[in-house]
Amino acid sequence: MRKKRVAAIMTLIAFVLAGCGFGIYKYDRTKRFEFAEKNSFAMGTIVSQKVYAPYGAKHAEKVNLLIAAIEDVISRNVESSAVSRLNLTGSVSDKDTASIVRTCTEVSEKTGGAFDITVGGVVDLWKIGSDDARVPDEKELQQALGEVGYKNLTAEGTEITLESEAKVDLGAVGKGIACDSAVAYYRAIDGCSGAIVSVGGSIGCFGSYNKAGDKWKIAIRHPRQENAFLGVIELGEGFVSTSGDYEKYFIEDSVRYHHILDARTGRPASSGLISVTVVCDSGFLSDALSTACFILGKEKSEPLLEAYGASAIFVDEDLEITTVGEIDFERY
Amino acid sequence: MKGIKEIFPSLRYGDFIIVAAVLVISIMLFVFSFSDGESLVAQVSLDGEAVRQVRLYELTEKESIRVGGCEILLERDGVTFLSSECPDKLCVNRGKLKKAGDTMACVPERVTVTLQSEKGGKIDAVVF
Amino acid sequence: MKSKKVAFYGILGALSLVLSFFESVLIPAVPFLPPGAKLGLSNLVTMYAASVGGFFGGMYIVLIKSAFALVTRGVTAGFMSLAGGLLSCVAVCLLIKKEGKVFSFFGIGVASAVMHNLGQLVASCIITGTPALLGYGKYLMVFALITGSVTGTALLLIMPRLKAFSPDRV
Repeated sequence: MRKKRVAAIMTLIAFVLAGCGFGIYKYDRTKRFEFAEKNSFAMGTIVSQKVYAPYGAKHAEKVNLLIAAIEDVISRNVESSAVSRLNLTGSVSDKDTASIVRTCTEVSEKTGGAFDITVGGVVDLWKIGSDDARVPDEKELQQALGEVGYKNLTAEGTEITLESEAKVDLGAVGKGIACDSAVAYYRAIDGCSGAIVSVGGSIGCFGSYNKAGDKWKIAIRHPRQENAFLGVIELGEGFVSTSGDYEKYFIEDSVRYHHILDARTGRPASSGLISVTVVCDSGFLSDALSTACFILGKEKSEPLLEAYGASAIFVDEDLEITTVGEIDFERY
Repeated sequence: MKGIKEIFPSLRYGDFIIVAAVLVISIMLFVFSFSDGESLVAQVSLDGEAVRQVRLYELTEKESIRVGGCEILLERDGVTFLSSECPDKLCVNRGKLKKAGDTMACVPERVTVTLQSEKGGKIDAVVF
Repeated sequence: MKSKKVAFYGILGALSLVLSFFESVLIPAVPFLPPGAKLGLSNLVTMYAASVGGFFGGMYIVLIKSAFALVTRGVTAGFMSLAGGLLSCVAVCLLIKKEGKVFSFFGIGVASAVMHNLGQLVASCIITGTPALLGYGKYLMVFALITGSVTGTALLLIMPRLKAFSPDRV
């Protein structure tokens, strides 16, 4: 009898210890690594970084410098940038910009001109995102639209030529390009187990924040409710961008005019969508494709996404969600 | 006291089982509900219906709300019942709810406040 | 019902109410108390009644306490008292069959206290409609373990002396 009692107690203790051990193991594996979090301002928006590496803060600062350097090359707001000079004189020589132009031209071809970076002149008419936003009158719109056309923009080697009065605007892809640069830098850091960066809402990530290798949780902002999320994407590595009609817009006579212009019409795209989120292995492309898909609408986007091996989440006016491709997305 | 000497011999092994079982369950409950960093979200319910969901980690300043007969203070690091119209004031005496899983209810007013970690775990980034 | 029984349970019932009042006075003096946690003084009476009078014996006391809570503090209090008392009573009745060889009144006291607190916790979840309150369980259980040990010990000491007062023989 006594032996049985002792045995029972020992088994109970063993269970308790096993349970605690298991709990501690799980906790350790899922506990986040130490990281440095840095928020700063660039490209007219907020840049947020979480770097899980020794001296993470220093690396984050280096990335900020990288992004500033990119801005100096591609931003229209920087007078001496390659893009500004191109718009002013019609030609410029810059290796990185030339490469960007070539890819944009490819996307323009695949979207039949719906996506077009030469739409800058029309963007200037609308001024959406500023206090002077307005609906341009038909005449000036047609005039500006007449200059738009990606075929007038060519890039050979490092030489870029613009043969019209159009203005090149890389606003639709600048943030994605910054993410590419940031993630490439993180990957090159010795001992970096993972990092995630947000440049004005365009996301780039790789690695993980804990030993268990858990994926990053990227929430999609709800297109109609403030401070709410549509759902969460779980991604191990890659880039995510969203184009929506809720970021920059104004409403006149109960019509919403948002900032994503269809380069074929010169007007805000109306494909029945209010938000498109693209996941891709390139930040540049995820930005470009999210804009393109928003303009094209879901059906016409499918071949485009397939061509680039990207996936997307489409949200229509009724808040119905459809996915193309494989995305680990959970709706709230 | 005479009685004290009777206690230990009277105990049976079943008693140990009971005590151990309670301990084991408590330990397991503790182990499996640790906080996941400071991604606290406060859920406030009235009569079983969620009336407010506040991401505490996004608050820039204190916020005070009135739910049922209770006044509730929301801060970055936790939630407190400031006052209540109930007779026992257990809710007010609870102090500040600070960790995920912390809960307090004002039963007579049928108001509940629960702190949770951001649903599905801490959000790493928001795409917009 | 024999008038002796009525008298017996009546006295016990009154005793439980007095202890309950005594408890409520004592509680503010105890720091770090999980809300809803009971010291179990009046539960002692319920345990005793269940031990000598069986399930119904225990329930008479539970009903007296709940009715009192209902009348003085409202429906919510009444329901909580009922839930806690009911589970506590059931626990005692289940375990008492093996009292002597497997369990002693100490263990029965602990189990009863834990079940009492759990019952009240579940009741509060139902009333407020928030299952999230169950997160409290872990703190309550530890606390119940402590108070239950005290009440259990008390029961352990009382029972041999008071068993003689079984209501059927009073």
